[in-house]
Amino acid sequence: MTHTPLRLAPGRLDARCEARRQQVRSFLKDELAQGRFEPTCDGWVKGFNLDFSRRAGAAGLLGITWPKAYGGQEGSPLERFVVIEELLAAGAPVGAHWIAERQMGPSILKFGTPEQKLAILPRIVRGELVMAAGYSEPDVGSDLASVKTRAERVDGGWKLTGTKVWTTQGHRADYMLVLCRTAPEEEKHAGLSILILALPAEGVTIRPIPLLTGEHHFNEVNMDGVYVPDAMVLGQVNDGWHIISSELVHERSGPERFMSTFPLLVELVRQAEAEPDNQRALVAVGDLVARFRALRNLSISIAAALENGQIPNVEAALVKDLGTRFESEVAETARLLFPVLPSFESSDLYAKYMAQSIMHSPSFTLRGGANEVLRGIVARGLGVR
Amino acid sequence: MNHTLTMLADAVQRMLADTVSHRGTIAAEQAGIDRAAWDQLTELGVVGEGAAAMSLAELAVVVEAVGAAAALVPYADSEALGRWLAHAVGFDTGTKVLAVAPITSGQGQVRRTGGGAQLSIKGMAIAWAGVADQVLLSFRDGDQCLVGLVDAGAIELAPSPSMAGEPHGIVRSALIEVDAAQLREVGPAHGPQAVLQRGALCRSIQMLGAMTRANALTLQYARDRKQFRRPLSDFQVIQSYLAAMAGELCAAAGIVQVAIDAAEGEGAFEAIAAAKIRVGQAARQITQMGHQVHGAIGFTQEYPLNLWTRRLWSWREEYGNEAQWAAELGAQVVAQGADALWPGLTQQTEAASHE
Repeated sequence: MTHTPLRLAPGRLDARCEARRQQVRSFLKDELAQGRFEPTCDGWVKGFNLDFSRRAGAAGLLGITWPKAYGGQEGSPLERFVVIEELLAAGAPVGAHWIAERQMGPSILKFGTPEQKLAILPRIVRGELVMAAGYSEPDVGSDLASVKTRAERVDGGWKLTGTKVWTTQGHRADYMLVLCRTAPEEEKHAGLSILILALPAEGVTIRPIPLLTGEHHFNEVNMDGVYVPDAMVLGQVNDGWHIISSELVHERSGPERFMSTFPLLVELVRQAEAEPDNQRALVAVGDLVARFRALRNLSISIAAALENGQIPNVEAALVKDLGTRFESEVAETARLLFPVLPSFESSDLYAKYMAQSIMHSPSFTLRGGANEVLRGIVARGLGVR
Repeated sequence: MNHTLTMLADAVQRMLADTVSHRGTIAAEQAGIDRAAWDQLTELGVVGEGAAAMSLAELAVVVEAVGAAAALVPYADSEALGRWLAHAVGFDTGTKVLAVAPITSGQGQVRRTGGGAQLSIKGMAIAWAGVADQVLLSFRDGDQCLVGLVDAGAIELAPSPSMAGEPHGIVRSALIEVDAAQLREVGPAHGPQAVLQRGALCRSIQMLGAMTRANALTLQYARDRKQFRRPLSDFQVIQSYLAAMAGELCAAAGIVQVAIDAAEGEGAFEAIAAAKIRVGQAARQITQMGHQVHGAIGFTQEYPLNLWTRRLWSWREEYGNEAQWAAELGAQVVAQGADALWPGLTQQTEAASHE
């Protein structure tokens, strides 16, 4: 199937999607009533809560598109879209399972062996497995294909040597997917593989890299001759670039690319409620809501296109570029309209979400591929690169 | 887009490509209308009764094509808006060129005179009034929504051509008389707010057509034009502009389609407001970056970029600009309250169903 570039057909959320929405809302209502989590901005990175993830798993909110054989429900990607947008809108602490459920699981489902699938996927569905992406390196930012970590052939497997950085949740991960070179660099994108490294492991040292907030999400992961058996190679040896690339379309266009500051947007509206005649505030709210509607519409259209077997990678890159800038725009608009002293410790949600949004904002336009790199992808799609 | 719409789009685009030209449009600005293009549209059967029989989806196809061609014709105002309204209230307008004035609250005064009405709307702008045969006045009297039809000659107008050379006029008459025979009561679905909304939707669709062409022209120019011995499109900063322009177009195209689908259902206000706002935001970026990439040539009449940028600058102001619609949309969101924001954004409407 083809589509007109930049003109995606609107996606439609059917009755099953709306049933999912009600399911998630009642789950969240119960969680909040029991005081089981504190909403937060950027909850998919900031909110690590393994108990919450387990309960979300038990409530049937994880891996819903996957085959029943691996604990899934064979639901549609649009059903999953609804589930995750509801979780993000509520500021739920979804960080413990997010990377595994969004990215690693689908890759393993697509490229993994039956043994790998059985060992890993049902545990992601239960919300009990933390996974990390060992892709980036000290000398590798957006240019992933130039990784230096190498795996050498040894009896029955591979010996991994190298250093990964910005490894979110690496210190809590049960598995890390490691992008490494398994053949000499003839062509840049060939000779890369992905190994599934079970953690902790001998030869692995993990050092925290505190965020500017002092929070510990990032890590430096050092691998010094770490043994990985053949059974833990994901897909074909030397086919790693293909696997990484197919992950990225899914990773770029989801609601987490424009909803990281949604809880702040809600509080901005609450501030405006107290001043219903503040014309400047009304215009600003209308402006942000219009942008939000356009982004959500695009994101749903892309999910629907993917469901129909299209690969709208240019549009997916555009969602991330527009969406992540919107996330910061919410905070910058709010702070000028209703000034406040932002603080992580504030009991005022507006002040607290403001601090979270501002202090996490540098990562919005970097994670998942710097926006400048994504614009390069768009330029290639336009035929000028 | 289904097969019928694609065929309609092809037919209109082909006709416009044969009839409308850069020089022709500039020359037509003297008269305020490209008569040849208008006659061709009439011959194609999409004006008059033909337009009255078309669905909004069909009208949208023609409106976008006219916007993309930068044809100096009042298709959106006369047909998608005027003919729709005239037909709904039972006025026989044949193929007369129509202009429409939605008079929303606070924009003048109404006095009922027996069966007719007197309107004082001095100072109000009416799009395309300069070439219209008849003007539809959409207004309220208390709870009543009314539509009056008057001959354009009966309204004294100060010519006020838009930045795109479209022949708008400012009402100079102190009083406009509407005969009882030319006055109809309508439901709110054809009241001034609904007419204004449909006008904003039309402009959004026209702008989508214009932005598509402005982007295409800029992309082509960046490939063709060499500076420092390289095509402009080799420069990363130019690639970044082109990508940003594509993003704006993509977001605008999606939200306009949503608005078209929702326009005749219950979520119409939110969808159309969001579309006019988002398209206006996109137009700002696209006109700015489009001209920047083109350099001085884009700033001349000899080069066609101005056909689209002048329209975008004009159309974004007409039937409410971004700030006016944002104030309306924001007021609704704030009135419903913070806790209703998410339920409101995710509300499914009947009209959202779409093939």
